[in-house]
Amino acid sequence: MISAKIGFRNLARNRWRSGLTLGGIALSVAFMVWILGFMEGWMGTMVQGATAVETGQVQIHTRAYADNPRVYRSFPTSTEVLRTIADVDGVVAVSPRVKLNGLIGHEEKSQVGRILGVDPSMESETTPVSSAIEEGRWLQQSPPVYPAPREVVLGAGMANQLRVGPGDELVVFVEAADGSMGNDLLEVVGVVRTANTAVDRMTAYMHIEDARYLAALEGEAHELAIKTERLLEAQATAGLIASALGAETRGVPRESGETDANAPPVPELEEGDPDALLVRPWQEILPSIYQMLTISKSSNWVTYLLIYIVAAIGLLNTQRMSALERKREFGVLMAIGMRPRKMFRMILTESVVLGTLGGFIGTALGLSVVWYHATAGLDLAMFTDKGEFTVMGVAFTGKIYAILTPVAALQPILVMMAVAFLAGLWPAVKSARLDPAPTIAGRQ
Amino acid sequence: MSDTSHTAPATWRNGALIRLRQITRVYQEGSLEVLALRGVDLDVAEGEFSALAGPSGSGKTTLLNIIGVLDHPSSGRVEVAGQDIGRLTKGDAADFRLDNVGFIFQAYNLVPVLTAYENAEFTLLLRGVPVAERKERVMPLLDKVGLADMKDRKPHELSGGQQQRIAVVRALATQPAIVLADEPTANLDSDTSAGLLDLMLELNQELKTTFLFSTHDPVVIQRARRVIRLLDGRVTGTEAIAAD
Repeated sequence: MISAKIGFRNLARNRWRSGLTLGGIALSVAFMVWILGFMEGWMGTMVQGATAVETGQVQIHTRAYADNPRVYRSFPTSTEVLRTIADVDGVVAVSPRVKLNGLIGHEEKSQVGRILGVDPSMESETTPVSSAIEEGRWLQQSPPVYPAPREVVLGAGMANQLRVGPGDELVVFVEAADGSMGNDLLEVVGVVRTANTAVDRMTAYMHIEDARYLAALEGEAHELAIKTERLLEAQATAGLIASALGAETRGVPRESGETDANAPPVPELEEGDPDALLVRPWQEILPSIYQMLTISKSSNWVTYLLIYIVAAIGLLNTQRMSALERKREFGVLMAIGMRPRKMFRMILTESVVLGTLGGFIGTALGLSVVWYHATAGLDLAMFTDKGEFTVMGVAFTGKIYAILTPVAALQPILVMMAVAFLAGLWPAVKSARLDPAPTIAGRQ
Repeated sequence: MSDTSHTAPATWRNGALIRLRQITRVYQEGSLEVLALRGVDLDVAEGEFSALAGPSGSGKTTLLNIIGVLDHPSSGRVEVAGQDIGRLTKGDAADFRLDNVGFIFQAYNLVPVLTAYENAEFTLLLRGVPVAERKERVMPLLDKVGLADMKDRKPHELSGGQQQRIAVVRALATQPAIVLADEPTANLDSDTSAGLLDLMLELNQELKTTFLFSTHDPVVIQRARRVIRLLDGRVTGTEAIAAD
């Protein structure tokens, strides 16, 4: 108690020095609070951007399709299967998809593209694609009656490449599951801009029934895209889905924060069954994104090292200078009965007091900035001449919103307290080793 | 009255609170050996109010440091209240000082960030005495030294004499057996010095605390009840001085 009192009051002894040290500590902590909040927001945006529109958070394919996608490696989908999946805890929506590769164009221009056959309403519930319409409209729930052209919604990049817009007609050629070539006349009814480059540049959305007809895949799908309630719990949800379907799941090593501990055991499948269904979370489907997320978390510690080492040197310098200036005082305290161990604790307490006080100021400052960027966002695109930038296939055109997490609020101050403890060790050891008599006499 | 023997009068010999036998202290300064004490024998009885008198470099401070376990003798035996304190570890020495010795320094040496009251109670805090008991012990002493109304002032808001009186309270708060004072009046003017000595003498008589202080000021020496004269690290004589 008296150690803390002396510690606090000593801060006021040399206001400039204490102020500068506190400022350095506070800025370091504030920066770390901000960087953790910002990275959480950025990574969240990136994962959301990568999974929300294109993949969903969990996907189901046949094992054969997952290993090597081919048009004939489909599986039958029934209302029952879809309902079973929708009833799984943590599942928000499910969308069956037929995925075809083909040539799409008109007499002047053509492009290789990916044709995604979707159920318009189920896809809208699973991904935000229908709300990303830039021109025209989303697909109608029922396909138009023949001989009217089939409806298609193009990614903005593809529409731009083909120089078409709503009302224009296109022709599509695809490889069908039976080995034949399927072709049809399409009418562009809408253009989407999703910030996902794979969708915007390469994808054309059709009604799933039209796509099935085109590729001779009656009642079948290549993929079930599933939206889950929580991004980080996708792995647990994948396990539950696999269990409900009697399918196989393939996951990635668990991370702290992923609460898949309650996931039931997944039944073993016969080895090599190519038609077996495989349920995979986004971490497995998009390993590069997942790795980047993991690396980003690890790199936070490198940032800690770089930022805090500067603060620690400042703190160490302050504590050492203070200890040198107060040597005589320490000698007197030891002479009147303070044990070396108590002296050690007192100096260490002063260091931790300084680190904690700076930490609180820094946390308050950092949280204010994070709060601002969580509400107003930070527009990184303004730093590029193109007005947008792309990271791992996700285009960032809008603002990035920081996310305030308990880790961002608490970790920087706790790490700073530990750093302050370490920085105080040397001056504390030196002070505890003083000999009172020569110190008071000024001989030590 | 003068006594050429270096030990205390016969009446004190059997009940000496402090007993030094053949104490030497050698400092190594570079390649030079400095003999600070050269075989000192000394007994100090409980309740004494004694002065260690001698010029600078005579060994007064070294002797006080050895009695207060701030320093170890190079040879010889030091006993306080029958306990050999010559070879205590740092931690045990600190405990010994806390329990048995009060220190008053020439330069007051109060903790600058603490108030007069907090400085006065510091040794009690180190002993873990509860707050109410600390107050019970410190306030009468502050009252006694006439500084009760200045208890919330920081050292820099007090005069030298006032700071030294706070140091006296700090030294006495734990009710130690011995108070060691190293040139306690050296930084004070003559009136303040006289006032401080009166106070120390009064506390000595009232609390029966043993006071041993070093000085080379003849005015201060006259106020002691016994004077132990030191020269070149040796006790050259002791004098008992009758009370006024």
